[in-house]
Amino acid sequence: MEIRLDITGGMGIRLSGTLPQEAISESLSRAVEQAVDDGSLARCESAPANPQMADAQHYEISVRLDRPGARAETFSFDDSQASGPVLDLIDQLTAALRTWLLKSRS
Amino acid sequence: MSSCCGPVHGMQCIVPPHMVESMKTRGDETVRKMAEEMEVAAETYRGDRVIASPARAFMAAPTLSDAAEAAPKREVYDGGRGARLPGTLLRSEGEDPVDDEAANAAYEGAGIVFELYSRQYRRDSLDGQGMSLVSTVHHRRGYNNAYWNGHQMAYGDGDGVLFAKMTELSVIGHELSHGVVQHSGGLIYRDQSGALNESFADVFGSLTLQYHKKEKAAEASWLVGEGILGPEIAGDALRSMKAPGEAYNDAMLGVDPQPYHMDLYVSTTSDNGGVHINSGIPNHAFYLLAQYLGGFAWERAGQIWYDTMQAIDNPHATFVDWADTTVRMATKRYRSGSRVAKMTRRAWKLVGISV
Repeated sequence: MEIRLDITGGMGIRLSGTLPQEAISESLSRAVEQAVDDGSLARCESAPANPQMADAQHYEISVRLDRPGARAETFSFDDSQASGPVLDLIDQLTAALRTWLLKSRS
Repeated sequence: MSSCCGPVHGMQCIVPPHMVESMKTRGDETVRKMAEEMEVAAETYRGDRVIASPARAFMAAPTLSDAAEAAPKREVYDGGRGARLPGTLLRSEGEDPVDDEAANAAYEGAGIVFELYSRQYRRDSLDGQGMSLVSTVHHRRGYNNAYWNGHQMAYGDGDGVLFAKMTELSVIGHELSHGVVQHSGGLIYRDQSGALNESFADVFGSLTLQYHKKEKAAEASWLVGEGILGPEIAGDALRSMKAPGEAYNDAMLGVDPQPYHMDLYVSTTSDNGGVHINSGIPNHAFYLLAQYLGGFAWERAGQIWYDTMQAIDNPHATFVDWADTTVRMATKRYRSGSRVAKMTRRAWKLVGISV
């Protein structure tokens, strides 16, 4: 599995990068796979955004699953569109990305 | 207000997308729902036309009388590191501090913002009608952000690496000021109107801090979010109104992308059309005006910006619209040809906007 996460908006700080397989724990990998398969991520895209929300973070997540012939699927949504479980997943992905970027930097 | 979708009396009208957007931003729950239904209808019945009543009429906030003293109504909740809002009540108005630093900072900060708006601009809370100031702290896990969701503030704890904390006073002032924008007719959160929304929040976030520290314009740092970046990050703050583009320069977060002049305006689809980027231009204009006028920036410069927000009545306002209104407000309050009016025009000129 490979995941690219691009976080924009929020208070104006951008954080983006690609998580290779080695940076994704088994449990996180399973959670992402499930969110792709059960449509949780896709549903966020079609959920109505809250136009009165200021400083919402925007997420663009590209996931390439470890399946034969699998192509990357991309999902775009913001804080107001995402369900609670998806936001929890985003927080886990962000933590993994931060750890990976710090490790890559040092 | 009546809602209608589809032909009425054989006449077909269309509500343009920008008007639907205004309805979503400025309308009450009924109007917002109507606007959302209109969007769905437009997609479902392509070719059909919809008509609707216009967005709720603009109304500036009522002003407190000189004798009146407004009192805040604060509520701070513990989000328990989850996404649900508001969470568990931690501290209500008038209660003693609790054993939670973030909760106390959100409570005290909201009180300072309330005081600035009520004492200086005679505004009773965000809506001008005494609405409660609701904050949730410990929102989500390691969440590097704070936001205004149309009803309340939410503050993450930061991850301790990229961000140290979110309940810094200029950030609190920033988030609450988004509420003031919303209840002053609103500015669509995209492109230049969105950048003006962001800039207003930055200006009054910075003024909240200056007001609390009793700093004159020349003494202030003009940084928004000073000290909230984590120890691993090379930078001073989220933004600098004095030197847009120089708040941070970090291997992980990149370089502060804010311009200070229209020649450097960034055209982008990211960040709602660069609302946190191009806000550097009106931010810098405000900084320049505050420096020209000297003294406490929340007095004359802040008053002009506040008056502009109450007068502009255009959710799609551009930088030129805003600049033009600041000059009109400066002229109205401080008379035509006054130094204040001249300096307001000059501040805009130096960021590349002639009005």
